[in-house]
Amino acid sequence: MTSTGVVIAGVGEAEVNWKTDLSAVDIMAVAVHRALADAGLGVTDVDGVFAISPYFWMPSLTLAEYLGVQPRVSDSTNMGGASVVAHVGHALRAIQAGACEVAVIAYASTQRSDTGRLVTGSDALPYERPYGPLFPISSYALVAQRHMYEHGTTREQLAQVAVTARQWAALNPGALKPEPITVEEVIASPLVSDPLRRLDCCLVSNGGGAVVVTTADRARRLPKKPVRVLGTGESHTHRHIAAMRDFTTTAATASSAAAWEMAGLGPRDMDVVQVYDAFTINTIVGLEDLGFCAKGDGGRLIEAGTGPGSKLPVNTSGGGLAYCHPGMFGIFLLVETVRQLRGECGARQVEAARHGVAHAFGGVFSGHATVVLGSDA
Amino acid sequence: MYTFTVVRQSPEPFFAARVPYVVAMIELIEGPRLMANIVDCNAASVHIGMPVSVLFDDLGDDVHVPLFRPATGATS
Repeated sequence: MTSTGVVIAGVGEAEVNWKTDLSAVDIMAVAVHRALADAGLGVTDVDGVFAISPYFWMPSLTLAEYLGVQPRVSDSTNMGGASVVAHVGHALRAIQAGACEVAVIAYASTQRSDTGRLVTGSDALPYERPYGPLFPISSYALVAQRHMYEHGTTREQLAQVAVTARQWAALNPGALKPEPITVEEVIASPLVSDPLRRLDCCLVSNGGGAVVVTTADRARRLPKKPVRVLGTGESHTHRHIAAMRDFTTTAATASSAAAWEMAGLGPRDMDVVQVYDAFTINTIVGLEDLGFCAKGDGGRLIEAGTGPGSKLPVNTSGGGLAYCHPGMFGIFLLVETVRQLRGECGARQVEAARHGVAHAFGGVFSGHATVVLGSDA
Repeated sequence: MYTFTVVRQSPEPFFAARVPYVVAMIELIEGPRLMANIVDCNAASVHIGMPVSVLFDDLGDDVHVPLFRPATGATS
């Protein structure tokens, strides 16, 4: 395992709820201030600003303006839900190059209060538009259908992903859907885009979050235990689903391979796993493509158990299916991994968690970013 | 047919009036894949691997698009 010299020193969340009076930039700023306070830093320390939000054309500029920061490094890279996880890699390289020293990465949306639906600036592919696929669920449904055909993945296995998410959420006091559900209830919920049903879908909530990335040297003088950034990777093979090459294997294979190689670690070394679960099929495909099992075995891995007390704790906050989902879940994957590695997770804490991986999908299995994190023993 | 989904609802009136409808990825004999609707069939009978043939339809608004329907006389 090699050291990158870069750490996550602070995390924060804000307005994870069904109703808010704040704007998306208010929420990003609150989350940034909380993350800085968590790190023992202040806004005047910030010289790198990374942000994404469907509400702003130039998110890092909007956030920096609001914070009163003139950054040396600014990045609004949009890879959908994978953006902020990709930003960790971008921040790492900027910090390693000496381009900035304290970077904040933030996301927020108020979609629940504004529309009750996904708020997105996503553009449609002209060659898909006339046929009426629902964005984004039909794209994931096309993958799920093919996965079931090629690999025998069952409707029950998909449902188990949602059931397990609720089990984790029941241990998270901040979770918006902690009520338990059964496989039967998932399978009886209304079809939206076959084979995916209502309870296969992530929540539609408000919320935002932020993380602070800095050098290990700087973090040594800070009060909290830093979490080391050990590996990062990003990739994509398509933007729109009709251009996806292989509908059951994603570019998560490439982004995770890069992150594993950089970290000098692999799936077996991970104590805690976060895989962006916008829909139940995501967790299955994600675990396969990150190398936690062979291609096609993801459903069986879910059946074997990824809930509280299992050997493979996945989406320990409750994930997008049960914790919250303000349009893009990436920032919450990072926040949860950091909190698990610091031992701050209360009833849902994974015992002696030292290494964790966060993988985010963006678009329609399009953008991919993987981050491997570690704490000192 | 490479894969498909049956759309059950839509926020757009044009498509809401047509639910349930089939959105599929079609693999052409020549190799490329494209998205299209499957028409002239019961959505419940659609399955991966079923042979389909093209027709061109006028969806209105001067939009003419390729659609597919179950192939007649073909073997799967």
